[in-house]
Amino acid sequence: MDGNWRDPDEDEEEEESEASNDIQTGRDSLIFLIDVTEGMFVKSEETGNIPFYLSIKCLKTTLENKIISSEKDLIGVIFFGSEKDKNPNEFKHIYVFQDLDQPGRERILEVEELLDDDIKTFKDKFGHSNNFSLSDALWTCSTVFSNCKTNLSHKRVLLFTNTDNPHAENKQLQQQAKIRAKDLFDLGIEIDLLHIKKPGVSFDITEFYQDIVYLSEDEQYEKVPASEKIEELLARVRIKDHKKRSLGRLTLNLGKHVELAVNVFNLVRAATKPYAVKLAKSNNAELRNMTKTYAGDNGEILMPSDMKKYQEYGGRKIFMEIDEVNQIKHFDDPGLVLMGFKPKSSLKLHHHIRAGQFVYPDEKSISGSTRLFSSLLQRCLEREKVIICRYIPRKNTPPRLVALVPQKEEKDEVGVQDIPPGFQLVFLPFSEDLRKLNLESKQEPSELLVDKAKEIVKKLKFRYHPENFDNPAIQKHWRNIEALALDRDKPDDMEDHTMPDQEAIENRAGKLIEDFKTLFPGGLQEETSGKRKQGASTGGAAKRAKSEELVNVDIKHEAEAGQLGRLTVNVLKEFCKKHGIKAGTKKADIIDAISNFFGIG
Amino acid sequence: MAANKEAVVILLDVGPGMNDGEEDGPTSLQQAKACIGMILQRRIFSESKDEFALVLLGTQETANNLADTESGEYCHITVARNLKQADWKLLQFVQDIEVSMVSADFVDGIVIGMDVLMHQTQGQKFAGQRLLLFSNFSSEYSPDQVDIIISGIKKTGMELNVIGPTSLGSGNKEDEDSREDQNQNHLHDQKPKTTQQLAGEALLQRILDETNGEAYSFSEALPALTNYQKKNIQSAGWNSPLEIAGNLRIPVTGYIKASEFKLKSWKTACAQRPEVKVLRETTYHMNDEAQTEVPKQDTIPAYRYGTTLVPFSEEDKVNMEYKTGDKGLKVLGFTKQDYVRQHWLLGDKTMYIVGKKDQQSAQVALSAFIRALYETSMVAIVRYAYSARSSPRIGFLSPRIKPGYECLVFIQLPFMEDLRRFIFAPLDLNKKNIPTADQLKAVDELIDSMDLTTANVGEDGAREEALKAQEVVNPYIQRLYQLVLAPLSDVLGPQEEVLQDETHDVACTKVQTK
Repeated sequence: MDGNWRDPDEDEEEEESEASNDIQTGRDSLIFLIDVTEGMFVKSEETGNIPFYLSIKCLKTTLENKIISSEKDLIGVIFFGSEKDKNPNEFKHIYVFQDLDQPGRERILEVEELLDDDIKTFKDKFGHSNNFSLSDALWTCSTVFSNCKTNLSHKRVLLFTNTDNPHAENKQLQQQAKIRAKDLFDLGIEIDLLHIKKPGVSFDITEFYQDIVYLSEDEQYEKVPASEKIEELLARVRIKDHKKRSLGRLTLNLGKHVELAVNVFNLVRAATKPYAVKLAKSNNAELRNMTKTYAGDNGEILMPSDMKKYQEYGGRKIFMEIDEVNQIKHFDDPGLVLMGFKPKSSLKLHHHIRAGQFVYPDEKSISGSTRLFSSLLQRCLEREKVIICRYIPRKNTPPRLVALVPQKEEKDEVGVQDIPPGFQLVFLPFSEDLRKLNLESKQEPSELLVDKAKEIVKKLKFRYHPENFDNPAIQKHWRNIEALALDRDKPDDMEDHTMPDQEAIENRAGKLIEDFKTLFPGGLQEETSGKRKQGASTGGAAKRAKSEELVNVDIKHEAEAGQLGRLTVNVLKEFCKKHGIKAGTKKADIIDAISNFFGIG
Repeated sequence: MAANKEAVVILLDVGPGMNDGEEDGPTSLQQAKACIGMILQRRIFSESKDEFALVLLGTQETANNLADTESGEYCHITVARNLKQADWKLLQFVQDIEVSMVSADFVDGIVIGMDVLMHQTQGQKFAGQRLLLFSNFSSEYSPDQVDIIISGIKKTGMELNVIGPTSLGSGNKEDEDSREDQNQNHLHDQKPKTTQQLAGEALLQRILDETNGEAYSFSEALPALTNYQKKNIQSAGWNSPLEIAGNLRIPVTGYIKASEFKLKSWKTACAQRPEVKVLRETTYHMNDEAQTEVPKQDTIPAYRYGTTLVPFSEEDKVNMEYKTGDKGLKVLGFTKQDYVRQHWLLGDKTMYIVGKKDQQSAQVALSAFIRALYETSMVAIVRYAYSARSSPRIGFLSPRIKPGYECLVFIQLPFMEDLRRFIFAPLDLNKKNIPTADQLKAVDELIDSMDLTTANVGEDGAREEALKAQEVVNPYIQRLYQLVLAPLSDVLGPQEEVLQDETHDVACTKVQTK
């Protein structure tokens, strides 16, 4: 925020903010480089999909997702293999459809229009040609990136095509494209391939594209097969449309100067609804907010150096300078320090206090890290051990104990990585974080009852994966905003995946649930509200009677001692009633009234 | 809840006998003061609402409601402080107490303590009332009123605890008809007890036995009190229905089992005038030359849709935003335990779900599901709505069965939006990163040499697990508490001056313990 300094109370929260930890300052940028030759417009008999429209749907989804998750990222769209051309270098058959910019209303509408057009309209507008040069297309990407006025930290091209061997007849063009791809990589531009399957033909990446794809080392990956389904393609785009950002680079110290470098990542973090900005009602212009900090007595504006921090315990305030507060939080340099090993079984599910993180070696900072990391991972997996470490994520952050849990790589059905290889970082509680509960709840349900419950469980069994549940509050919010932004009549319909499918449950287990309930002839419901009300009223009467007795407390004495606050409202009210003191309903008001009655200030 | 606080009367013997102690060790009074200090510190840091009164036995002066100077009853007993939340003044006051020249009857002291509890808790709600007696029983006493005391304690539901140099029941008193364990504590290198002490202890033992009170030695009490106690978080139950298919509704209560204890946030004050509050105000301005201020009522909230700004009024919000509906847990289905991966766990807490208290049928129904899940290694996937106003979350319920209780453990799971899919290359992509057999062997040796399961040596010499969560305290919180404690004497200054400003503590200033 311009013009204001940091909220002085905010610094207390230890929540990781990636922005504060991220040294890179630029923005993520992404170019969709889409093949628009005629081959991309052939409908698959099998799936009914048209490869070009699959690509555009991916683009639209990515634009929408970016708006939700990272609206500052820049996206551009370039067609290659069109008849017409529009590009800064005046290459033939290259068409910059959308220059690199933040996504927004106009861009989405443009893309929607593309989707609404039929194949013929596209041909009329852009045309098709096989006389393009992929080298030119790549060079155009590079130009678009370098013409961008914004400081870019990460540049990536996603290339959509269904032809595994372009320029098959022209080895020279192929060679140029390969050299160009390497040039781009040297300029810090990564190129990734989103290959779409042609019906009946396999996409052979070794024909040509393996020399075009350039990714940074820790993302290099064995090739996945070409997709023909929108879901698969979208899943692949989702993984690739953003930069992998680490929370920070740390050392893992094993003792005796043995250190390896690791990167720590957040792979799961609760997404939230965005904050609102303020507009002027008069003209819908965005307003800037400014925060003033001032002294409560004379209104004098305070600068950070005019303020002190304090903690208050037992009525005593302990003042500290802001620097001193940081010093108290400082224990050691950031990093992970080995404390020892424990069996994996020593971890307790019910000790969960915070979402975990993920640890992966960083070969760049200390070479050999990957090998040592790999040794630890292998042996811990084999021996079912976890590594207990002291973890200081950042400077001036107090330490926590964590367990590094070894994790094997797992892939999904289509070969896309589902679970990466590395250590999960699990936060362990301190004794302050655990509560003693005196639960005395143990029953001996009949075997019949347990069996019925088992049957219900069996009938309602499904395979859980978090990808299948979206957040209805966030989805609804964005659908509303989207509808308003794009002048839709009403927001898109939304299925609420957090609500049980009542009908399906009824069909599958309705009878069993009824059976289960009949085993409780008295019912399972709480007492009816009618009953409770009755109970409450008698309780009230009892209370009144009791408080009458208690008015014998020396109210005057308590008032003089300023101790009226210790008494219950009932007692105070009773006293007022007895002495005809008029008072409000709030405790503070009643106390004031009684104090006045005794003539105490 | 107001009713969670306890009323505690500390009865501290300051008679000459309290000068006794182990050779070269601390005196009984010093030990008693250390214990009381710890108890008070823990209450201060935990911001407990518990109230404490202090009664000194063996003061030169007499200040209590029951004293009868003519008969000499209840003399040399001073109610030094009335019931009030623990604070630094009381702590400092206790630290400055010294042994006096006169002794008082500790049985009288108990009566005074009961009197204080009886009168000063009137009109207030307390969950419990407790008398803490610190004495080594070296002074004279008269046992006349013991039966009245016993029946009084029983009738009022008070609890009596006794803390002394050794646990009661130590020493040789075969002739007593008390039920203490004869075998304990013979090893202690204590000065032999006088007959007086033995008789006093026996008497107390009888009171304790009849009133279910407890006795501790200083050496038992101190270690337990040494670490600053965790903040006294009363786990208020979260009552809600657990719904399976809409019409099977089990009333349950959730209790938080684990959640990160956060220090109170740092407050801000003026550096020059610490008593002055710092206030903040946010204003809204046009982006024009003059930075014209726009009053809040003339603004409208908006959200960014990429580069587009979309006004979204409070009214839109009410009409269009997602409605959570009823609070509670709704089962969406059941899944294998293995399908719920550890690295997905989200949220900042673990909650235990049990059948609602005093509702037998709810507990039995829940128990049936706990066992069904346990025996089939399954968990329930549920929708969790804390209240009708909070956004719903997805979580899972996992069975937990212990000898004393059974429950479902609730932990939050992510939504699709909460997952970040990054690709990480396999570690053996580059062949030079594949570890050699020697390297793996070295790691194995490291694992063996740093095994924490046997790293601690217990009292009986047995190997124990080190770094258990229940035993590791948060170093940051300990450090802060120590800092708060450090300037205790500097800040407080001379005791009399400090205590004078409290009208109801006038008694304190009169006390001359020397």
